[in-house]
Amino acid sequence: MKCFLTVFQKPLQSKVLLAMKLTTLLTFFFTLNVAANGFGQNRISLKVKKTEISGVLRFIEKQTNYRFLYNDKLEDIREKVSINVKEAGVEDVLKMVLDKTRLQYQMMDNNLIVIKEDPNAPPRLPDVVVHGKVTGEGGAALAGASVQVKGSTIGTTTNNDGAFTLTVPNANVILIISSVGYDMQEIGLAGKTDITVSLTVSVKVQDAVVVIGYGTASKRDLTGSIAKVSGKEVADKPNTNPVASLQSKVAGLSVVNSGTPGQAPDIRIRGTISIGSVTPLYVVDGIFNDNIDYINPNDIESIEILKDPSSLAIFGVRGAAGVIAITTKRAKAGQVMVNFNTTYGFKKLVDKIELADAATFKTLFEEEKANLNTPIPPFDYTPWTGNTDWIDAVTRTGHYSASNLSVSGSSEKNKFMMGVGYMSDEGIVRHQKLEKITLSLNDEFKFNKAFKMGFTINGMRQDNPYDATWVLDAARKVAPFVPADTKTVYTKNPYGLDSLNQTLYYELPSIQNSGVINPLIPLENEWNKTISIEYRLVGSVFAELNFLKDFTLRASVYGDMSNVNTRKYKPLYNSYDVVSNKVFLASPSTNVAEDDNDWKKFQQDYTISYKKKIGSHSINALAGFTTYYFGNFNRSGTVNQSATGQAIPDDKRFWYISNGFGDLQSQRSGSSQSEKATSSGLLRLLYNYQGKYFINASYRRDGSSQISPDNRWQNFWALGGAWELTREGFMSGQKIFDFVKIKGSIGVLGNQNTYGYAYPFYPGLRGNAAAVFGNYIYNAYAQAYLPDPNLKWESVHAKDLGFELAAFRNRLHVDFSYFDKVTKDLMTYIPGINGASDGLSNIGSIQNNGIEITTSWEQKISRDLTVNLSANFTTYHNKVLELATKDFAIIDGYNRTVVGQPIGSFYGYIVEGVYQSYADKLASPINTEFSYGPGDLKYKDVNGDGKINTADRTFIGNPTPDFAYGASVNVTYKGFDLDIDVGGVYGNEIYRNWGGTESPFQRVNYPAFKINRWHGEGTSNWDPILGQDHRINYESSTYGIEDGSYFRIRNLQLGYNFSQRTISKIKGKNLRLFANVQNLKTWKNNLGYTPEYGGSATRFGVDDGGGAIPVVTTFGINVTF
Amino acid sequence: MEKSKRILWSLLLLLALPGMFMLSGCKKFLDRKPLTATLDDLHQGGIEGQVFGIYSAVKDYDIGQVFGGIPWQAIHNFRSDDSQKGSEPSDGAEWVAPFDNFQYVKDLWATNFYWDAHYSLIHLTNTAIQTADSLHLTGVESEVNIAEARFFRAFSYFDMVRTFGDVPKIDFRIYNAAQANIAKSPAAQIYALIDADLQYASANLPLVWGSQYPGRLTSGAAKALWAKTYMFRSNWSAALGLLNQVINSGQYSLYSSYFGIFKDAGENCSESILEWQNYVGPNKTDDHGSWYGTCQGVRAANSTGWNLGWGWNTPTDAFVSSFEAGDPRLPSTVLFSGQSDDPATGGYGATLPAYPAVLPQKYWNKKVYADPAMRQSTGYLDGAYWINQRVIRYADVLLMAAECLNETNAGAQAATLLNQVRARVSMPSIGFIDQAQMRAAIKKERRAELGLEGERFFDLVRWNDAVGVLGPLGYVDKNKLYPIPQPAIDRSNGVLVQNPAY
Repeated sequence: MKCFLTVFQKPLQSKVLLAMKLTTLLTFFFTLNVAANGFGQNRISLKVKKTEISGVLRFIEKQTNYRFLYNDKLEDIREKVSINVKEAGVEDVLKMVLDKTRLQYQMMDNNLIVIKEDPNAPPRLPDVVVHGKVTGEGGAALAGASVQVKGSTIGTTTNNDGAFTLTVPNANVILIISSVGYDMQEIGLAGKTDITVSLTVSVKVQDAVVVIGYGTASKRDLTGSIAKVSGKEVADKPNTNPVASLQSKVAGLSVVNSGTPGQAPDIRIRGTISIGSVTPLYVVDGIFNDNIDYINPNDIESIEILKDPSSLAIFGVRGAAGVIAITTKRAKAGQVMVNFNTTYGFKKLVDKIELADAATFKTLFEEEKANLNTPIPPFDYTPWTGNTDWIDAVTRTGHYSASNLSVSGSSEKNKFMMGVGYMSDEGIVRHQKLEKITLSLNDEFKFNKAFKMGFTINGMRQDNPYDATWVLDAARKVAPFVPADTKTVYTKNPYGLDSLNQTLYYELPSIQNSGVINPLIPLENEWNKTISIEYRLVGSVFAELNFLKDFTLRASVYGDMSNVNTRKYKPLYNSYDVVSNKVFLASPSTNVAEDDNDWKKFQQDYTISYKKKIGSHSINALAGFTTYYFGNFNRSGTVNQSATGQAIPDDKRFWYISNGFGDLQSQRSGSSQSEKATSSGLLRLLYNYQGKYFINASYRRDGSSQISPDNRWQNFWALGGAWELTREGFMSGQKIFDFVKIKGSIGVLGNQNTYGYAYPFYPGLRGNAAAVFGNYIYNAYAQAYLPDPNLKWESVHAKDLGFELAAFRNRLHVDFSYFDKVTKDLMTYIPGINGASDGLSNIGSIQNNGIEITTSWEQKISRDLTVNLSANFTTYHNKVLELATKDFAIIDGYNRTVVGQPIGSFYGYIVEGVYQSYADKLASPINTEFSYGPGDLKYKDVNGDGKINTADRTFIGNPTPDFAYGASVNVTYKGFDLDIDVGGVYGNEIYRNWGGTESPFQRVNYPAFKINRWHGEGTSNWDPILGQDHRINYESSTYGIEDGSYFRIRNLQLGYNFSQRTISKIKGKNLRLFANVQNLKTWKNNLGYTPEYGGSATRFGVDDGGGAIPVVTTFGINVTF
Repeated sequence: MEKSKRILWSLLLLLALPGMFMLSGCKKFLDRKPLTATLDDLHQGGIEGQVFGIYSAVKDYDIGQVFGGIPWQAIHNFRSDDSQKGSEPSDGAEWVAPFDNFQYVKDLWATNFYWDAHYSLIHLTNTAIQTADSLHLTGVESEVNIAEARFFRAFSYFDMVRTFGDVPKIDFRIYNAAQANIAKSPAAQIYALIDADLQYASANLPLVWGSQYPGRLTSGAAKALWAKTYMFRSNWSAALGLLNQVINSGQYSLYSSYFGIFKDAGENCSESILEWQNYVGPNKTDDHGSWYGTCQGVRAANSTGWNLGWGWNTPTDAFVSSFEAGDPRLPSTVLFSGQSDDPATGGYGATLPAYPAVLPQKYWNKKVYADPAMRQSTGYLDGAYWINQRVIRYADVLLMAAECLNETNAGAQAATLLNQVRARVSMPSIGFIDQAQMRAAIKKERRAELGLEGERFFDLVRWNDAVGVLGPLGYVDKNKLYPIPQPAIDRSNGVLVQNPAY
């Protein structure tokens, strides 16, 4: 406390000196008080600067009648002192003068004062000036490291070269060297005055350096919840999207993956916070982004997931849904490194849905026909002799391969890194293949101590896969008696006048005319007729200037440009109709569609930061200004072959709009374009006192072009506090905890989500509207939607409370958080109230809360064997608090969003059973909504009014799990390492749409379980009678509800690192072989391919009969030179 | 001291930097308007452009579905005894019970969308009317545009009041969705709005448009529609007054060939009073079509070459057998599976495949039978998107007038008008015997003349014949009104109350 006061009473810069004086003075006082008897009567005024003590004594002699006696040889008499006193007693002055010397005075008679050496004084220990250098990882100079004398407040920080100079009381003190991200180190000087200290990177979770937006900080200094995942975790996993590899790995992060190559997973951080966009913001080396498909997982150094208000407020209007910050690799200091790795593997479809075979189909279909109220004509099965598993017919073993080469080098001035990668990712649906080439390049050049510049370039070329997302669902619908093979027919070449043998796929039977197709006909004929190539270039340049020692000015400019060119050719092709034994021109006309989609994003950040440690006060302040621009420019055109002329040839040369074959009259073009921009100012303060008490405050003001000028500017802020208990004295006695921190934060975050409207407050016109009068066409104008002039961004009012601890010599680590987020001014549209069907308004609020626990245990069992265990657990509780009006529902298929219920809850009837007989029907409450009879579903009379009607519908399921969990085991034994990741969710429901209540517009194949249908009294009390016109059985009800809980062995990896001796033979630094299996096994309770179904905020958890997630087995090699 | 000053100064700079940037420069950076036209960019003619938007919507592939697509077919046609769902049995099986057998379902896409899209069109009309009002557009051209908007509003409400009875009366521009969540108004108030709108439309729409606007709304269309609304209220004298004005306007006459009305050449012919205009250019260019023709075209597997559409709204045996012997309107209205399409009554010289071996229905609507030449030239081999929907024909006006005359005890005059219609198809005249005989004759004539054109169900309802005629199919009296769609009730927070009979 004393020290604290002192600092604020005295000018700051004299603090160190003063402290030293105090110490010395006290010592001196106790040693001299015996001698200090008697007083000088004379008062003196004295002002000298850096004068030898002998000189000062002479001044005193001049002013008083005291005389001094001393030995000229005394060393200390030559010490220089500065004195400024007025009317002081001579003894006081003497004490001052002799302070910090080994001299004492003795008052004699006759005003004589004897100055002599104090025989009891310790031997003279003059101040020692220590020079040193601190280095970090790879021997690089470490700037900004803190150097402190143990047990004192004497300290300094290193400069940009990692050097420091510190005056210490003696050459035997102990220095404490610390730096963010490194383990603290104590160095006894032991007489040395020139030292080099090499710090080691901290592996302690609580000391990790994390990205916090516009900078980095030690996790120890923060009050928020940030999870850090090392790039290693995603580099060798068979996913082109790095975030896909994070499933079940991070508390609070929910990832629902897609089996389609290149398709981004459905990612939500800490629940569904909006009914619009719930996708987190990606920040890649400072660049704000909505997707990260240009990032090669191998180029990633680390991924941070920012979850709480104190971490997110700095992202303002983009922060509410959470942030995934990605840092790409930079050259490590002092090394030239060449790394090559390659992975190869294959994907297999598992957990196939079970469908009826040909015999079962016939049985069920004939039975259904008999049940129909409207009789339908008999169906002739004779031409149909197949028995096809249509899922097998459209799927295959997919292959995955990825290879990467990176080169990095670093010198005192320059750090350089370059990487190239190639990835090929095949889906399990035939012909689905994504290919990607990535290039990354970064360099940082240091001009001098104060100024450095650098750039980063990421380039990508991606060959998008043929869109086969519809195939699995289409295949499930085909009647199993339809052959999946081809029929060879000698028939006319659709492109010419000649005839030739063609292998043709089968047309479907007449009962499947509506909405069902043989997926192989378009798939096999068109999969290689679409060329879709994306080029993306993301680059940034920065300059950083250090000035006035503690200030850093950083300017960065980012650009992100993408072009996707898609050229789609519709070929001519035949199919075979087995009923009439005829060839049918299934695609009778050629055309070309070309689409050119550009986007441009520009971002500029200017920040000025101030970092200073003043005594016990650590200050890290930041202010900045940033702008963001996004422009989307899309042009598309089509041309058809001329009705009478030649077809556009099946040759890539001609797959352009102006191909020379097209009918010029049919040539059409169009464009769409939009722009948006934000401009923002930001402030942040990270403060701590003695590393014990922490305050993080941040503020951001965002202005957006998408909001009307009246509401354009919105403020976002957060305030967090933390207390590190283990730095307190009362904790020093215990041996269990190494680190305990209690933390909490509160703040307001924004969600910039516009439901795809580029100009939500400024509507354009309805597209393609035209009034027709006879053959005259006139442009028609109608406002595209209804704008709300008072529209503003959603704001999320978030709280976070938790603790972190490390115990048992840092082997146990626990991170606990309780979070609570209330989204206010929910931006939404009200669908279809009496014509007001469009337009956005702020009309609701949603609450999300839960707890997150992350724990890990590290155990070194022997010199060769280490085991790491970690686990995470998150609970989710979601509730809609307010929506337009009470009881207003957003109905999105089976999902319903209503006040008082979790978002997107399933709504419908509760099935109590199946009416077994007419007697059963009569004995049960009457259903007034439908006509029904034995075999139909018996719904529950929920309100007990004796009849069943729409008022008996109720909430029958929640697509959000109660909790999600994940765990990892990592065992290292000598060169071997084994990683097992598991995870799952519990307590959510799935709505199975297929084989239940899907639209009876189509005659689709029956699911295998329909063999258990009701077909007479007592045959089933759950699966209703077959009959597409039994409308009662197609209502949303618990018949479609399935348990969504699952447990999955998410990933299993076995690796071997060759010993240094072996590697050095090939002049390598590191060589590793590994095998990896992803999604090895899933234990689930539903009938679909997978228990996970993503979607939009208000429609998810619905199993539409697709979504297969394959098992991916890969082998890899990773070598570093 | 120096040092602390320096720090203070720097902190100040730190704070001032973003402030400075934000005060200047940002405004321009953030002022971004759409990179395409908005209503504000349309000065003069803006109101006309908006009204054209309603013309577009009433027949487009979206909202237009409820004015001619399958939801419209279900409500206006399937429910009659003349036609049924059609198509493959498995195609839309869930529509059979509610629309062919009167087991009305409260939550069905067809009726949900019928409700929503009618209000969407009403919203477009209200927006146009309010825009004209706020701009104080009072010129003649603007009045015409307002009249057009009010016509469409009345047209929409007439469908709503006939189908659902009491419905919310939205006759104002909606700015906030909550404003639209209002209680039902009694049918009488809806009719009062219809009357006011159609009175304005009748007074302000031109008698005829220039050659560049075939099919644009006229005062004749407004009066004919208005008269039809009076027919539903059995207000014979009011209806007759308007119908006489249409008849006496000299603008309309019966087209010589009955089947010719429904051919491409018969679009906007002399008999056309109200017709939704569709157009598809050569080789799929300028697709401003609708689902009307396509949803009723002959349905068959692609491989048969007879896939002309979805095959909905197919005639019933009862309808086919209802025609008098030798009435050419039967072969002009019905296309028979397994028979020649009969070029003498609108065919193109082809023979249809047999039912049930190849085609799933016995009969098809010949009034939308696509011309193979048009299929080739438009490039839509399996559709008929370009076919105009004949909404009100002069024959309908004559028969309505005949009905009014008969109901007001002028049966002999009624017979004259009736026989005009019969003479066109060379059917023998019917002499007036008594009111009941003439009433029966007019009803029979309407059925034959306007077959499959969406009149029959509502005619039966207004004649109070529905229970008698449709009863065997499952109709009971409460089925004259459809229940209000459950989703509309669900999202209204109980503001909207279900029709009492449901």
